[in-house]
Amino acid sequence: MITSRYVSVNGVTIFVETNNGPREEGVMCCFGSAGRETRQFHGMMDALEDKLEVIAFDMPGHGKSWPLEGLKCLDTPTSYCEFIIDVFKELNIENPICIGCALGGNVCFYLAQHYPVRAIVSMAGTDYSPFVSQAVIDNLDHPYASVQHTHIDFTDSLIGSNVSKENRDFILWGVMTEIGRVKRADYGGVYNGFDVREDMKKITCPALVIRGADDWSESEEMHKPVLERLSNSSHLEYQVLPGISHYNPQEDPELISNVILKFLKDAEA
Amino acid sequence: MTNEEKLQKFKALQELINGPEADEFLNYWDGRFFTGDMTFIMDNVPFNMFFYKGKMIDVFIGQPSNGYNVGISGDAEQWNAFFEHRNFQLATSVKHCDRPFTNLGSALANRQNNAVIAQVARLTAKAFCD
Repeated sequence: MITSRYVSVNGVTIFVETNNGPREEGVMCCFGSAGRETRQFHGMMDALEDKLEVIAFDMPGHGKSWPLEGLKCLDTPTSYCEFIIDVFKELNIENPICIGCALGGNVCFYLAQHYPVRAIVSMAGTDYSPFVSQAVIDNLDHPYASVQHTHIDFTDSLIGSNVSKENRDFILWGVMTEIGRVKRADYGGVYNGFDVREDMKKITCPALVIRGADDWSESEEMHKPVLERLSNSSHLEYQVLPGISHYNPQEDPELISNVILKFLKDAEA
Repeated sequence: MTNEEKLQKFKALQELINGPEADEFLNYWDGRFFTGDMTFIMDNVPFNMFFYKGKMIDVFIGQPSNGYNVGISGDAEQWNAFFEHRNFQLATSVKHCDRPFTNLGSALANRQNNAVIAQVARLTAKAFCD
């Protein structure tokens, strides 16, 4: 059963959810895509409730977490990822399995470079993502442009062909409930400024990189150099999953959960 | 295809948008909020559509009298590629597409109406190809 609580991290009230799974089997921490909140991982939390403890938390300003002082959000890759490490410390999380989607998929690489982790799973993630044009960034938090409307077709285009209507609808509900200021910080600041290529050789833990075959925004060609830079990973897997696209944990949570469990079993055999 | 033949395809698009596609266009893609000109330039020829609250009132070859409001411009190769994949976001992404469409009008106006323009573009593909 999923339960939630609040913790204070660096003076910010942060919303945390857990599936109350068996912590002795490991703790999986989940990081979402730009602008979104913990419910992206509810499907996986349910699917894994007998296997692992799965934790997700809202970053400052997201979902039910408070923003930073001055109604701001973290808008650089380093400040964003270091805040996550501070949350780990506050929650006494050691050796987590870090999984993430899109922006969260990027974040996993930073975490594995700077914090002891058991494994990482990067879905639709990359170590270098200067992909957002300035015209888009400028208008994400414009008073005359509602991100819930201006981004709906973009989100729609990134949902896989085999995704159920229920899962598709909840992914779209995700964009319909976004906050422009959060989206601009995440997408225009953290994601667009993300570049951890230099330190990829520091990653030695098991690493699984997942690409949805329908994802036009993260092509096969874009993943190749990422995989090459993960050359020191103790166990590297790359999986391309048909019928899904960009929002992997929401598109097919059971499939993704099973893929990750098998990866962990193989990596730790 | 001649420009006159293309114009006939746009008139077929008008029938689609005002007919069988109207409900989805108006209510899901927010077309009901769109009043004004939308221009698609194909190989330097502007096809200008005028909408009133999501209903396509008119389409003609030429620039809108008050200048470009919103829309996209591309050559035959770009339009053919779009007609094939029909992914408006890919076709307009300067970071993912080798030869993206050019936006007409301000970045803000195109952003505000992104979903509406995307759906008109997809229905244009339907009118031209299906």
